[in-house]
Amino acid sequence: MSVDKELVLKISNLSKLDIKDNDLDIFIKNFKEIVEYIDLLDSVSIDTKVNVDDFNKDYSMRDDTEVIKLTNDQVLLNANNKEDKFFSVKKVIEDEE
Amino acid sequence: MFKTIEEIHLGYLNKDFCPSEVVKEYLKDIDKNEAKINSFVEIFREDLKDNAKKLDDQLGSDKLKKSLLFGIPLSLKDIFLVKNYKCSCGSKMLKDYISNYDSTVYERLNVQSSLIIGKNNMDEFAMGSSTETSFFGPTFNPWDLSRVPGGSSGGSAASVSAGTSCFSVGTDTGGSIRQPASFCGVVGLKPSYGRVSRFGMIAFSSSLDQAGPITQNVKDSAIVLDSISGFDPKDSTSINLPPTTIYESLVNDKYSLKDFKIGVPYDLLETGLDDEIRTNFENLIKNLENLGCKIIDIKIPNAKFSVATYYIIAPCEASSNLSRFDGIRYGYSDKNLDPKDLEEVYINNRSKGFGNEVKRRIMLGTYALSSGYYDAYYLKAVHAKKLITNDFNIAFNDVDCVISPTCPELPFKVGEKVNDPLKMYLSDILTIPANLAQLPSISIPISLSKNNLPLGLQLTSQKLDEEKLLKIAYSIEKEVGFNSHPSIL
Repeated sequence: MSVDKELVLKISNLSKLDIKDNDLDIFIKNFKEIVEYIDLLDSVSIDTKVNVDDFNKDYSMRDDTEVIKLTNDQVLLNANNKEDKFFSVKKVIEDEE
Repeated sequence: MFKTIEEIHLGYLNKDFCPSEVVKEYLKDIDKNEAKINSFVEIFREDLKDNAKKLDDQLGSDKLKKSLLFGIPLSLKDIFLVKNYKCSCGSKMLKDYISNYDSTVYERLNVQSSLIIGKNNMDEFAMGSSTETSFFGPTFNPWDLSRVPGGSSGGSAASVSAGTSCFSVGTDTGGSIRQPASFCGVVGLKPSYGRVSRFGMIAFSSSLDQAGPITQNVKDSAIVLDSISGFDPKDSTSINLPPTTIYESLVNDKYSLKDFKIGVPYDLLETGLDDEIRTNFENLIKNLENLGCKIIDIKIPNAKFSVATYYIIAPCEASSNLSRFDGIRYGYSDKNLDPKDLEEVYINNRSKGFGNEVKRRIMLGTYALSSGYYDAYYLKAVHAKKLITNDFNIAFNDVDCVISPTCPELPFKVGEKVNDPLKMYLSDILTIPANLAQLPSISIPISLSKNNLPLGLQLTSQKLDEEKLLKIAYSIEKEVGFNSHPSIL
């Protein structure tokens, strides 16, 4: 798919970002150039015999036990809106009619 | 103040000076230079003086004998959490964020009684190669204030270069330690992926991010790596190995350049290199050969895919990692907004909290991972990453390390590339392969250009072989004898 205004707006919406109108043209131009460049990977042929997952062989899962404990106050330290011991957000469930 | 870790340590042992006097010198240099270079986002001035004073009476203690970092003033890239201090990651999104726990890197430095001066400026969320994307304004290169210090750990490299911190710890996702180290004439080490814990380090691209030291020389780099490396159960990608002990072997083992075979990927260097960088590199190769070093032409055929691979994997991971920033639990929140729903809160906070480069990369990642594109982009990129790793593994059958210039170009002018992201991305072409292949890689300064700008040499070795890497780097460092500091400050 070619990179155009419609695509960039769709992606910005998926990303929960708003691109200002006066930034949009330059954003589309830069985005297009970058996507054209990364299309270089079209020439990489996928060899199913190559195991791409073995990067993880050096790591292991730890026991499911607590390694760091934050108090309620610490968790809420940077919250912009809080009530009692909770984060406060705009209501997301509509009232029943 | 241009004293290495070793020199300050020796001064303490000999009681030539005490931590308060050393700190006073650093603060004096900060007062003199910082306004010109903008390498810090915060300086912990009063806490630093208090902490140094507490160490003054301990110069006769075992603590000093046991730790080379006792009383050493350092700075941290503002991506590492230090409890009760701000951590902004160069972003408006986190400009008021207060850390509520310590990063493992800081915890390990702190336990050795080192002294934190403050937090270094950086590209926003470590996305950039020039430290120009920082919300707190650009950092300037101490060698030429009209030029960038590189990035994203540009504040770290500039402060070490300007003598306003003895060393710094930065992070490297595609060259963000080595490129600024090269631009600022200091030593920057990216350890193997998994060598240093990422716990408490704000994530950009989790499979590539790695913390490492920016220092004045290779020995200091070994000292810092020995202090911050080692298994950490709080990071699931931390490799289960004890801390390195490279400083001792660097200093005590018997070795010379004749013991090492060095690979040069000539095909990768055929185009795009600045003439002066090329000439300088070729001269260095001749000198190494004259010193008895075996130079071997090697091939990394898939390295041509590195930048494209990186700019799929890193943004994909960034788009996921940065989805946590909604301005609710933490982060920028627009107090004047009267939102109609929660989605408007997200969009508003994220759009006003992130800068353009961060937005671009989040969107690039969202695009590459979106329905119908995953196979074309992410799957291909992961495959290319593996092919590049295999190329290096084959090369390491014949050589001990791979060398090249760290960067294809000299430090560029402030503003020169900021509006041309692709051009900026391509400046990381020589550093990215080591991140993709998870290899340790170091940049050391080797000389100055005609215009008095530093030139860096990059060395890369096999995964987890930092010891051999630093031995070769140390041997070359001794031969080239680079010992210059910026004269304009």
